[in-house]
Amino acid sequence: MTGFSFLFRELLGSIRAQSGFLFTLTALFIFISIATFAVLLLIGNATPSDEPLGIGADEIAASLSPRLSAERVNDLYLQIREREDVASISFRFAEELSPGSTGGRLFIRATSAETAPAILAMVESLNGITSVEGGDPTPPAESVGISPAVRIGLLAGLVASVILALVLARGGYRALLRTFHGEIRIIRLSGTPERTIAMPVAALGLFLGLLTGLLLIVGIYLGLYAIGDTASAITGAETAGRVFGVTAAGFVLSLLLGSLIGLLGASLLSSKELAGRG
Amino acid sequence: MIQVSELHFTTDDGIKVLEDVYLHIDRGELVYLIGDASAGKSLLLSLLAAHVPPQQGQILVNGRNVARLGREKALRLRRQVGLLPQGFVPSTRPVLGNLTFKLRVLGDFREQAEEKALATLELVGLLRHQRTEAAELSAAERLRLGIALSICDDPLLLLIDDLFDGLGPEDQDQICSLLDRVNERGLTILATARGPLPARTAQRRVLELSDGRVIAP
Repeated sequence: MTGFSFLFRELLGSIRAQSGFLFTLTALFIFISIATFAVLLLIGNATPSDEPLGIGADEIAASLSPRLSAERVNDLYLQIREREDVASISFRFAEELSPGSTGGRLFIRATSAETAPAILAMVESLNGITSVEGGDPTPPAESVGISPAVRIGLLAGLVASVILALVLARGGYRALLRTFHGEIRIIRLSGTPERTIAMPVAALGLFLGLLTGLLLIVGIYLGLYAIGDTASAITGAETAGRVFGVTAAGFVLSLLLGSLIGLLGASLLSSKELAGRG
Repeated sequence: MIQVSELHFTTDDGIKVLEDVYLHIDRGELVYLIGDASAGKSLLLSLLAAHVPPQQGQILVNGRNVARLGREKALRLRRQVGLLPQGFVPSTRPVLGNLTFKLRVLGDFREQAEEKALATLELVGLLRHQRTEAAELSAAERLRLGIALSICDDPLLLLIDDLFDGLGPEDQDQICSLLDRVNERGLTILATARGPLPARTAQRRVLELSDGRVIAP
């Protein structure tokens, strides 16, 4: 292990301007690919709002006591309908809405959302009304999602960034191993197994993946912190568990990409160029 | 230390490089092997150092049959053999850094590695160049550094390919003197050269590799 950590440090110390630049770009494209992956998982499809299925801002639902007589129900119905700010009113037995329930419900639609609170207050004050529900006067928050076309575009971007990361990593490794070829020759002549040099070279890729994975974690949580309440509007990002799951998956993907890059670097050790130099 | 018998080696192109080679070198001996550029000297050294597996014949190095060594045992043997290949170019590190790098890769701690490296540099006469970049050394100094790299981890056998390549007569003489000093410490040495050899080697055993066979010149 001492030999490994020594060689790994020496390898890092041999990174020069060209290889450093290429490895930085590699890390950037790994980051882009895992960030795209996280976006694809975290943000769901753009879906129409569920609001029409509930009570609208201009609607009121009043529950009637089951002990009311038919005349009293009719009185209440007429009393409410007389109001000028009531656009429509309908009665339904509770049994129709929920089997086994007793009593009835009045569904009132106001002429506008602004007049609904006044009607609600009036209905609440009437005898025989057990409960009243009104719609939320604030407009529903617009949900943030991504369309299938954007999703396909992101997927293509993910694949492209992975390929770019691999190509750049290959260039970075070639530049680094050219700088380090004198040391590789010494290692090979000293009779140490090929894995002695292959392991630190592969670990460098894993190190890149680890760094970018950690950056992704910080980026996601900082991003969610920055957008605050808006985060809840993002389809799929409502729960902390989901965010954690996506972050963990992104981190694992980053490590996998790093390992792949590391293996690519280690395979370059047996290339003709380095085998000849070594 | 080295016992070679009936050694044959043919290249992929069908060229017979080594034919029925017999070679015997005792422990602690310093032997020069001369031969033309394509006589097969480098190949013979690579075979002795277990860098190339033999095709036919027997090679015993320190009592071990190279042909029968597994991968791990071949690596273990390589650690006991310091091989300095032809045209060796050290890393761009300073002279001392080249040696400590090798020793640390082999598992030595920093202080231990520096101690061994400095002692070796003193032996090969490069102590005053310890901070010099390897690229700034002359051909003779680079050869000294190569020898230092090959012996810093105390091998049993030192194999040097094309010893005097690119060296003037004075440098050749000094390198012979250096090999004598290293040999006095008990290290077995086989050095190849294209010949003719400096007069200083007259007291040593000299062999010739010609037409694929080792003969006394």
